[in-house]
Amino acid sequence: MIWNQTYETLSRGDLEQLQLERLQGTLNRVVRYVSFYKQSFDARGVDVEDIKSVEDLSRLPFTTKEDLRKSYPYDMFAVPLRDIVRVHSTSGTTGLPIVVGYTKNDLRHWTECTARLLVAAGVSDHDAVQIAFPLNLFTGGFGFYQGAELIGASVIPSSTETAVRQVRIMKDYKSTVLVCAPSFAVAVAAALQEEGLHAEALALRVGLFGSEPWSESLRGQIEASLRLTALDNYGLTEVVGPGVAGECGERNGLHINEDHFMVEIIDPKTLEPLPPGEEGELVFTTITKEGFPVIRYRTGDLSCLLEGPCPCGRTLRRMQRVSGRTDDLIFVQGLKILPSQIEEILLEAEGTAPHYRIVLDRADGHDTVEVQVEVLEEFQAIDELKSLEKLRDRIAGRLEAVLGVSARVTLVEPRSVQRASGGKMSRVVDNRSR
Amino acid sequence: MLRIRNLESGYGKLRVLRGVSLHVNAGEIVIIIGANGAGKSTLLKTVAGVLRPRNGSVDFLDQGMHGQLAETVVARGCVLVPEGRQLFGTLTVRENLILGAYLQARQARRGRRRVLHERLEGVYDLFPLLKERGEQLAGTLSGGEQQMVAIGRALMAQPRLIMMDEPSMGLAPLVVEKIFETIVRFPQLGITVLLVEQNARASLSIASRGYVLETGRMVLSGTCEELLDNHDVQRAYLGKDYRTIGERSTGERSIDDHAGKRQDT
Repeated sequence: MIWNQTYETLSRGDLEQLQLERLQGTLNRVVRYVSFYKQSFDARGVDVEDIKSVEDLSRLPFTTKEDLRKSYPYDMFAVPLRDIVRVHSTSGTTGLPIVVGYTKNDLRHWTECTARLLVAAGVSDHDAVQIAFPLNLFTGGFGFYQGAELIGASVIPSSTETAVRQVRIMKDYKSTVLVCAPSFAVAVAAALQEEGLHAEALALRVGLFGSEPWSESLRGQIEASLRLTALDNYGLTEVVGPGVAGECGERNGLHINEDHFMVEIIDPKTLEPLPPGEEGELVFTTITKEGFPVIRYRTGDLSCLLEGPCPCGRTLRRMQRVSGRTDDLIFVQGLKILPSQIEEILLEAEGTAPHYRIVLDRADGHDTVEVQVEVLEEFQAIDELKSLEKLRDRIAGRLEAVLGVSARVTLVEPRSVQRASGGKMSRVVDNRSR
Repeated sequence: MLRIRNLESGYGKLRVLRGVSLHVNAGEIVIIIGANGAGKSTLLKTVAGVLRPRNGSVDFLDQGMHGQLAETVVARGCVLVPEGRQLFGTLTVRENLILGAYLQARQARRGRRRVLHERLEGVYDLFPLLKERGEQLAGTLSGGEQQMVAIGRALMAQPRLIMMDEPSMGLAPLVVEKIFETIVRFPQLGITVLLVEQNARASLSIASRGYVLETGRMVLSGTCEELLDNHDVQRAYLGKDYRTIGERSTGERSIDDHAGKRQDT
């Protein structure tokens, strides 16, 4: 099924005409109303009148997360606050949150986009959609809630209920669709077992999982344990929230809602655009947003564009499932953390060397984090068990207090953590997708 | 049906259109709203071949049409109902109408009379009043009636696309309503409509999509519902009072700052 037959199956020519019109309109508005873009374009000597085709998009400067942060909270808005009818924000775990405002039309388009994802996943007005994303500043909950309501499904906003409560709701309310983060789906599966239930006791048939990268093997695991078809979707608050792209039943990539978001893949080092099939950083430009438009926003997510038509009939281009990050952003326990943030805490603690390893694993459906860090040789209390324990607890306490992550800290012998030898060594070992 | 990309146009040294892109699909009624001097009329005149474009492209029915002569544009099925009617006041209504089919009538060697007769009947079906007034001088008609003649004259060319430049200008609200009621029927007759209007409220109610033109640039596009919900459109074209945001800013510095910035730029 296709939600919007007209716009999801446009010919390339018609789509590019639409994109050009919307892009030009967006550019004309942002140079007038957002001083950041005016300055950024001027600094690069770009006149928006020179953008005469969709290919010309690559002449515009990029926008980074840092740029958006500097505008905290409202400086990137292209309309006065009185035109904004909703505000969401990023979690702000890696710095200042990014505040995003939506006008009435923005909400309308966003709702349309998540409705498309749901319908592409096979959801209809006959379904009971259990949305286990929090209904708060985070975009996941509201985004899907609106879309599911638009297509007429029965929305069950189970939001932040615990995994066990989710299972009970799922079973008693006969939910047929589960929307949440893939890691939470694992927790739900574990809770199911805890409750002594089998997936057959549930009515689930489809799951839409997103908001963090997840592997094919995890997909298989979730599908087996919850007895449903698991589909991937992609989105980010800075661009709109969920609804940027999503898989159809063919599961051969995520269809991008290109009539609202223009996509590019760039080489994160040279910043040059890459042709389809080559992996690079995803860059999005919003072309219908009024409140918070972004021009060439660098997402930090790695993917590639797929060529060729999709048997489902949609002509919207597809991107491969996100394979990783340009930075080392870790998605764990529902948080986004940079290894450098953990490093900072380790450096603050007296007695540890800046050599560490972060080991991620999963136990009983929950993410576990282990931080292995070397003790300094010259640390005076190195032989005292008590002071070592203190040091360990202090670090764990800081990690919990500053980053909100509950981690097990292991102090290891000096020079026992593998050093980088020439090439870049990953300080993160992720055993979760095994 | 009509696809315009980066159209630039103007008069002498004056640059009016600064790269306008828009499209009209078959069977649509598309409206362009904008303030005085935004370039609405210039846009239509350039598409119609009255003005030569300086840059950009105009495709009509998948073929290039930019820079072509006005009569070629008409012959291809795209006609303009100009601003202010532009009738021949000293000719009768019927004569004015017949002029609309001048090109085709000249080309049709035989059966010219029959063709003209059929087309006139078509126009009279749409505007029965014009039949009654057929022998009256166009200059003696009321504004609304003159507008009907102007539209009727355009229809005589049997266009695929009719472009209208402010058909509601200077007319009483009731008459405007009547004209718009007629325009709504055009898609059923196989005629697509591109409408330029200052009367945003009335025209948005009959159109399928719209564009907002400001100082020669397209700043907004969308369905009429979307445009009606846009606060800029409401403030600028629907006469919704643009109260200063300061009124609710007591103690809310950020809101005030933000609004201030917006108004300065």
